[in-house]
Parts: sequence; structure tokens; C-alpha cells
Amino acid sequence: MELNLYLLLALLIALLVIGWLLAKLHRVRGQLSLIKDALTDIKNGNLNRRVLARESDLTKQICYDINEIAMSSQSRLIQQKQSEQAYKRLMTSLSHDVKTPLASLVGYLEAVESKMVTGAEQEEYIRVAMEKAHYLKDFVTALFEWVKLDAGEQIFHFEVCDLNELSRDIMADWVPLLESHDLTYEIEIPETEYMTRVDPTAYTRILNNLLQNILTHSGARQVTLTVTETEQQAKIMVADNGKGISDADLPHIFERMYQCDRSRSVRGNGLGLSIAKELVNAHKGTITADSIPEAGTTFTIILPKAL
Amino acid sequence: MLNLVQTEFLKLRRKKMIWFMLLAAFIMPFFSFVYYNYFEASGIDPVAFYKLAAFGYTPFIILPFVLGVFCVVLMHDENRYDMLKQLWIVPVSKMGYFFSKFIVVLIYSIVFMLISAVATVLFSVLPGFVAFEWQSVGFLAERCLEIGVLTAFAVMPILALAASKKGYIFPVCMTLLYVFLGFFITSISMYLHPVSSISVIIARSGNIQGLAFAQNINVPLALFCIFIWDALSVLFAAFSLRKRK
Amino acid sequence: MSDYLIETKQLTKTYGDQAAVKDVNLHVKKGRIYGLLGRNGAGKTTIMKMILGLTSITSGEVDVFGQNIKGHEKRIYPRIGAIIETPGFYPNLTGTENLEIFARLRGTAAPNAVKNALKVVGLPYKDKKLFSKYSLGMKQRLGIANAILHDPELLILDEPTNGLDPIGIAEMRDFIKHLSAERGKTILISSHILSEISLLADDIGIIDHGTLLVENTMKVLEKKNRKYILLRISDMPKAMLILEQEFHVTNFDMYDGHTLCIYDTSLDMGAVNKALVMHDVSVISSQLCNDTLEDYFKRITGGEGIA
Repeated sequence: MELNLYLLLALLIALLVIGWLLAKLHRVRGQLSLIKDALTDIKNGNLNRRVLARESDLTKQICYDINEIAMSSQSRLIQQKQSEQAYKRLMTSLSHDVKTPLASLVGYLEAVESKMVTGAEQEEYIRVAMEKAHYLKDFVTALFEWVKLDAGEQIFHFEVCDLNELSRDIMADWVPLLESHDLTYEIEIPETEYMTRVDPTAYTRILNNLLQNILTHSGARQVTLTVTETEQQAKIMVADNGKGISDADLPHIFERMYQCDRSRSVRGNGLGLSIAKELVNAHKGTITADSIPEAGTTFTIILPKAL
Repeated sequence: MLNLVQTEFLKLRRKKMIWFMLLAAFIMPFFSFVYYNYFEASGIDPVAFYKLAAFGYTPFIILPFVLGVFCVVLMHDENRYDMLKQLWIVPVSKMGYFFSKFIVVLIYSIVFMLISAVATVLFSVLPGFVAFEWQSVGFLAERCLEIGVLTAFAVMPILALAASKKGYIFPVCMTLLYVFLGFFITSISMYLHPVSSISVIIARSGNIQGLAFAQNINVPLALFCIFIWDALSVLFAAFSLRKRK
Repeated sequence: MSDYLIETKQLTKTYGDQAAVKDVNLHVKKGRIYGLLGRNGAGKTTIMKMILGLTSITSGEVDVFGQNIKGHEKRIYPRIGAIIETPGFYPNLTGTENLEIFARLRGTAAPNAVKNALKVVGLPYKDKKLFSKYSLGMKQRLGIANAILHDPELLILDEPTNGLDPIGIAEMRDFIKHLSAERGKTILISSHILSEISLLADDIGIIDHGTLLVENTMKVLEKKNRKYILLRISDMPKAMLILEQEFHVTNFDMYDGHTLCIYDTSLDMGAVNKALVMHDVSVISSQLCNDTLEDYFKRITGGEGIA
């Protein structure tokens, strides 16, 4: 009787163990069939497919490895696609932004050539054609610069120099230009030395682009440049009191070829701000814009101090 | 399945209520201690003490009620916070969900009865009412285990009901009703209600004296009663979970 | 397998006599963001629930990954991540513990899945804060974290920006864009806010009173969102010259050799036509496009508008 009871108990335990093992086997078989399915799917090009595994699964590591392989080839593929798309966008924007002014330029030159206009008007037409040609030249230059930056082919020459001195030099060049456009200006740059690692050419380009942007688009009457510095970073603020940027446009202004006002009367090249952003990024800094419509816009650049 | 049960336990983290409810396991052993202390008894029949401490009100009222409330606690959060749809799309099968909850109830029920058994032994041996013998303690432990397992099955209707309702007030009221119904229906027939059927099974072969019954003891019939109730509640749970989505 | 990750055929759901969703044919293409736009109560959530098999279908069919979900739950659900309405979690657990439960139930695609998912949505890992103490925004984030926990191919997001502040909304938008662009996920998203959908979606479906009114790509719809005059003429350079010289319009684009798009809609077209004809430029057609997306949606919903 005693013995029977123990035997029964042993049988029960054995049955439980067998049951557990069978459950485990069932789970592994299920997993294997899932893995097979997923692999077929991945082979057919669906790199998004994942195989899920639980902490306790025997097949855990295999699943994780399959996922990792799929994920890394996926991200490579996406990168490739993105650069293809960027190239396509470049081509369309090239054709759009170059073809239109070019056709218009041809129109003026044809008019002059066919003697449709004479005298002072002819002079005027030639002047306009000239302007358009210059615009085209600038645009193509800017575009190439941007492409170089975008492709990461731009070579920077970082050197340790005084940011305040550099800013003052740049502004000195701008003062006559601002005055000739009837803009009042306020420039606040600390007298002290602030040594940091920048590419002077790139930094000049950033400020130039921001100021040029104000000149062509904002319709402002006043420009303010403020430089403040701490131990960790330098903050450069370029503000105007122009017409501002609407909330809908603000998130996109640093995108290439984004031009806020579709019915704008002045044609910029739509590259200045995105070039500025790329250049700031190259300095591991950030550039942001705040704007109140009809009251003005403030661009803030933050450059970390580096030696 | 094992996985589901494990997550059920994870879900109970920081629920103080379920620990407090375990204290209810001490109620009857303590009252038995007070009762026998009042008569200053000693050397009494262990089974008589056990009858009062572990086989009386504990399986009949306290444990079913505690388990009923526990079922409601298990089901309530997921119903209340609309989590079921998140579980269905994992996917968790509806019956897997129901049975994993049931296994948790089963384990809780067994733990409750084991605590009750330990408390009974402590309250009987330490004050010297009964002498400590392996045989009687073994008998107590074995019967407590039986009660634990069977009562879990007996409250399955409550679990099914809790799964079908969003609020907790209705299921708790139904728990009370269910428990007292078990108490009163006994006088009509032992084999109508799972809770009274359990006491039939516990008192089989007549080695617990003093548990009075209106009918003859018929263990298969009692098991059959529990089975019918459980089968119906599984069907009900399947139906209501499918309908609720 | 077709290119559609989700395809519904004549999907209909009725409550009593009332049709909540009527004959909806939805086509969600692989790798794209599909925006389901409609007012609250238009039937968006019901459609999503039917797609996920969370509510019964009165008539019609749903195919996900080219299969019917019913009978393939174990194969299909792990490939989907979803939030339907405001997702609930266990109030007595922390965010991390909640996600660990789902990770354990579902399995994960990589080790440290919970930690990564929380990081992606900007919630702290192993934080002591219980879910019941979470703000609505945090709850929504946790919902997203749960939806992406297993790195699914298809995301179904029902009003994911509900309860988020403007910054949170912008972050969510960027995040969804990132998932689509950098990770190749297919996303079905619903919203009652036109601007939100128009900023995000590649394809858009407009739902009103349970009926799918329009299903189109955003590119096509966006063309309706601009104000411009489309001019088809014989001689492009000459036409440009006339526009610039006589009407002082510089803001135009050339579509092809014969189509000119003028963004200044205040132009007197009569005068332009006349001037062009006077200079021997024949005008094949001129067309004023003066529609915004809002106007367009108002028209197709019968004047009631979308949001």
C-alpha cells in the first residue's frame, strides 16, 4: 500500500515532466515553423519581417540574429533609396529652378535680338537679362555647395580663433550694405576674447546667409546681432523686425528648396538657410528659428565651445 | 500557458488586498483556540478541533468568499481599463486567458488552505489542546489541500461572471449571494451547489464526526455537481469573452 | 501577395438599422503612411477595430498581409503594432513593468526591447512612477512604446496625438515620419485634424458618416491646395517676357515647354490673355485653380467640412 502510493506519486511526477517536455517541444516546433516562414518572407525581400522570441525560448538567439541581419540590410537599403531620392529631388529642382529663369532669359535676349525693343528699353532688357544670368550663376553655385555639404564632401578647416573678433569682422563688411538698404542695426559683441574651434569661412557663410535672408525676404527695418558666451557654448542671435514666418512654414524653413511665400515677389534660391544649417551641424551646433508673424524673426545659433 | 500564468502573477504586484485576504485564513483557527480556551479543554480529539478550525466555516463561507473577491480583483483592472483588446492582439487566446486566471485562483486557494492548516496546528498544539502527532497533522494537511483544490473549482462561476462584467460591485454581490445560497441550499440537497458538494467530499468515509448531512454521502455525485457548474461557467465565459471583444 | 498590407472589401458594420461603416474599400500600401481622416464618430475607430478583428464585421472582408486574420491570429498579430483609442495599462505597475508583461507575452525581436522602446518615446526606463500616476501624454507615449515593442511591420495608430501638447504632437509627427522613412514601416493612422494628416500621410482616405469618400495619394490632393493660374501657351519665353514687363509678375514656374504656372492669382486674366494674343502668343487654355484642401474637403463632404 505504502509502496503503491510512492509509485503513484513517482508516476505523477514523471507524467508532469513528460508533459512539460512535450509543451517545450511543441513550442520549439512552433518557433521553427515561424522562423521558416519569416526566412522565406525575408528572402522574398520583406526586410521588415521579424521573428519574435521570448526570454525562455531555446531559439531566442537564432531569432535575434535573424532580426539583426534583416534590420541591418534594411537600413542599408533605405539609405540607398534615400540617396537615390535626394538625387532625384536634386534633378527636379535643378530643372525647375534653372529652367524657368533660363527660359525667361531667352525671352529677353530674343526680344533684343529680333529688335522688338529699341533704345532705352533695349538697354533695360539687357540689364534684366544680365540680372537673371547672375541669379542663375549664384543659384548654381549655391546648389553645388549644398550638394557637396549634403554628400559630406565638404572639407572643413577648423582652427582655434576668437569668435568675437571674427563676428566683428563679418559685421564690419555688412554695415555699408545694411546702410545702403536703409536698415538700422544693433550689434552687441563682447569685448573679451572667446577662443573656440571654428571654420572661419563656414562661420562667415552662416552669418552671411542669415543676413542675406533678412535682406531679401523679411522686409525688416532693423537688424540685431547679439553674441553671448558661456564656458560651454556661444550663442549667436540674429533678429529682425520684419514680416516674420508663419507657424505653418516655421518647421520647414531649413529644408532645402523650401520657400515660404508662394506668391513672393522676390526670388531667393531656397538654399541659404539649409546651407547654414548644414554648416552649423558641421560645428556640432544647433540653429533654431523663432518668429512672431508681422513682428519679426530670431535665428539662434548655439555653438559648443571646443578647443 | 506557463508564460500566461507567470504574467498573471506579475500583474498582481503591489496589490496589498490579496495579502490582507490571506489573513482570513487565521480567523477560524483563532476562534477555535478562543472557544477551547474558554472551556479550558485539553487532550481533546484533534479531529474535533480541526473540524471547527479548518473544516467548518473556512471552506463553507470564508474561503469561497475570499476567492470570489480574488477573482474579481484578477479580472477588474483589465475590464475597467479596457485592456482586453490589447491582450487579444498580442494574441492571447480567450480561453488561455480565462484558464490562466483560474490557475492563479487555484494556487491562491491552495496557499490559503495551507496557511489555514499551519495556523490550525499552531493554535491546537502550542496551547496544549492536542498532542502533536504526524498522523493527524498529515490528515489535516491532506484534507486542506483537497479543500483548496476543490474550492477553486467551486468558485469558477464567479470567475466567469467577473470576466463578463466591467464593474466590481455586481460580481462581489453575486459572490455573497452564491456563498450564502450554498449555505442555505444544503438543507434541500447537498448536491445542488458546489460548495456543499465539497463538504460531502471532505467528510467521506466518515472520519470527521459531527458534520451532519441530510443525505447519504455520494462522492461521485458531488464531483459531478462541481463538474456541471464548471462546464457551464466555462461555456458562459467563452461566450461572454467572445461577445465583448 | 499584393502590394497592399491592408485591403478591405465592401467592409460594412451595422448596429441595428444604423450603418456605422458602409462599403469601405481601403488600400494601405506597403511602406507608406495612410492617413484616415474624418470627424469624431465618422467610423475611423470602428474600421480599425474591424481590421484588427476586435469587433465583428457585418459584411465584407479584411485582408491583412494578404490573409484573413481569423484563423491566422498567431501569424498575423505579432506583425502588427496598434493603439486603439486611449490604451489602458495596469495601474498598479510602472511603465517598465507594464511593457515587460507585454514583452513576455508576445516575445521580442531583440534583447533590451523594453529599454529601447521606452527610450524611443522619451519615457524613463525602470522608473518608479506607477501607471496610475501618469499624465495623459505619458499614457499615450507608453501606448506607442507598446505598439513598437516588437518592431512590427505594420502600425495601426488611432488618434495617436490625442492628449498630447503641441510639442508632443510635433515630436510624435517626427517620430511617425521617422518610422516610415528610416525603418520602412507601413502605418495606418487616423485623425480628425486635417493639418496633422496632410503633414504626415502619403496616402489619404476621407471618411464621413461611415463612407469612404475619397482615397488618393497626398501628392494628387496637394495640387488642389495651391492657388495658381495654369496657362497653356505657344511661345514660352515670349509669354514670360510679357508677364514680367507688362504685368510685373515674376513669380511663376514653367511646368513644361508649354505650361506656365503663375502663383499670383490676383492677376487680371482678361488683360493677360489680350496682351499675349497681341504679341502673337496664342493662349491654348487658361485655368484658375483657387482651392484649398479645406475647401476641397468641405465640398466633398457636402459642406460640413472635416474637423
